[in-house]
Amino acid sequence: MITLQQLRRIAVALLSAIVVCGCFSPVFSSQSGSQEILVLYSNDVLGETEPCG
Amino acid sequence: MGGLSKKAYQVEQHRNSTTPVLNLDAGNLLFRNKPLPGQEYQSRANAEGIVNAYNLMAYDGVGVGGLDLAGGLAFLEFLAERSSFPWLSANLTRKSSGKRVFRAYHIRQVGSIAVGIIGLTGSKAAEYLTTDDAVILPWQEVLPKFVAELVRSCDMIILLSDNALQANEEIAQAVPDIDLIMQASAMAGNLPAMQVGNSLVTQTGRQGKFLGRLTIVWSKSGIWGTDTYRNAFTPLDTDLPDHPQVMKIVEETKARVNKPGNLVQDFTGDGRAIPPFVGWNTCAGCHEKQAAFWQTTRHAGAYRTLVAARQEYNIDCLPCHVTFLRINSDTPESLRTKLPQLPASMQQVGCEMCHGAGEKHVGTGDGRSITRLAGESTCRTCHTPARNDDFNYGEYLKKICCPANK
Repeated sequence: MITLQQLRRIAVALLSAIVVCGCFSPVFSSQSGSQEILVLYSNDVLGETEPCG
Repeated sequence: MGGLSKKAYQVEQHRNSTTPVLNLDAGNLLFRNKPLPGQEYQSRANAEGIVNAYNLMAYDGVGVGGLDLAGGLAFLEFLAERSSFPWLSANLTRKSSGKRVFRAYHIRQVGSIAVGIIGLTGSKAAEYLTTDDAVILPWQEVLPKFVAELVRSCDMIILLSDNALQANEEIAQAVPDIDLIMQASAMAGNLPAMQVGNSLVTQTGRQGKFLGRLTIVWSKSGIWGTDTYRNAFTPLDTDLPDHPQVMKIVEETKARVNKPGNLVQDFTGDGRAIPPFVGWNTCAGCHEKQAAFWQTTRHAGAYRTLVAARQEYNIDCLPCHVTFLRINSDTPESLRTKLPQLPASMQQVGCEMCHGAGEKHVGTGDGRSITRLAGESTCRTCHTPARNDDFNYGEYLKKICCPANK
């Protein structure tokens, strides 16, 4: 039989877990409405001295 | 293409992180210039190697730049069929059918964001089009239409542009729904992300020496602010780790490029220097002291460095490692094809690369028919900023200037 106090502890733990995940998750967070992504980019691959040595 | 394995390693590291990654190239990656006759095989082998490496790096989109067309449009189409990433150009079109040669755009889901990536080939690319059936349309005719299509289904729109900064600034002002413009212009250095209207414009410098990184904190508002992005450039230095599989591709490509039989016609020299050159050993007959000094310089060993790198048949490398004509489009093919098979007396940066070809001087003995001191412009032919960013004429001259006769 779960007591009211135990239930409260479980609820607090669950809520804490949700808040922590929401804060540290790098993917879209509905709370902040933002998403972090990394764009890698380049151009003009051929180095002039490569591969002459 | 030596930086490819460094870049691949970096890309893999970023992909292993928890932040979703979009990997893009704005174009101009396959050729350095239009290959000269006799040089096509080598240049195309390089281009194929680059595509193979890009396949492994799982690019999300590559723009078609003018230099990507330098091997011919048909060759780029051949490579596109072998590419696991989309080549993008909204404005390279066939005259006969009015259809685009490549896809105009590609939509990629990155985390929770739908990103539309459009390619735009620069107007100057027309000089590389070898077919009359292709045309590069002005961006005004294509971009507003495609961007309007993408706005309906994308959160973010990125343009891979082969144009220079000025044109891209005009585009940013005229098509405000473009969020990000990645350039592939001939800019020497990196262009840190700068805001133009509603867009950010950025580029890595020439020769693939850097990997650009733009960390974006994207919100539905799509408005840029100082806290919405971070921009940095990773120098692809030689001390960085290599990606083993891409390194293997690079080595295989180098070996393929360095096959003499694929580059030249039969050439049976008689061991003598090719006029108007006489070779360093002829110079040494009268200038023994100077020739002995020259033997101690790096100029004398310039060809050996190519042999060590297994690139002694690479026409891109050879001109700065031997004594011969400066090869350009005006050089007769009969001379150009001799470059990879010069006699031993020309397989160095010899006396005549600084003092001029010696045939007339040897014939007349006239000191006025030879250049006594090479000017800086002569050195700069090979010691370009890209190869020698610390080149100093006075300091370098001390290292190679021959002793006087007295």
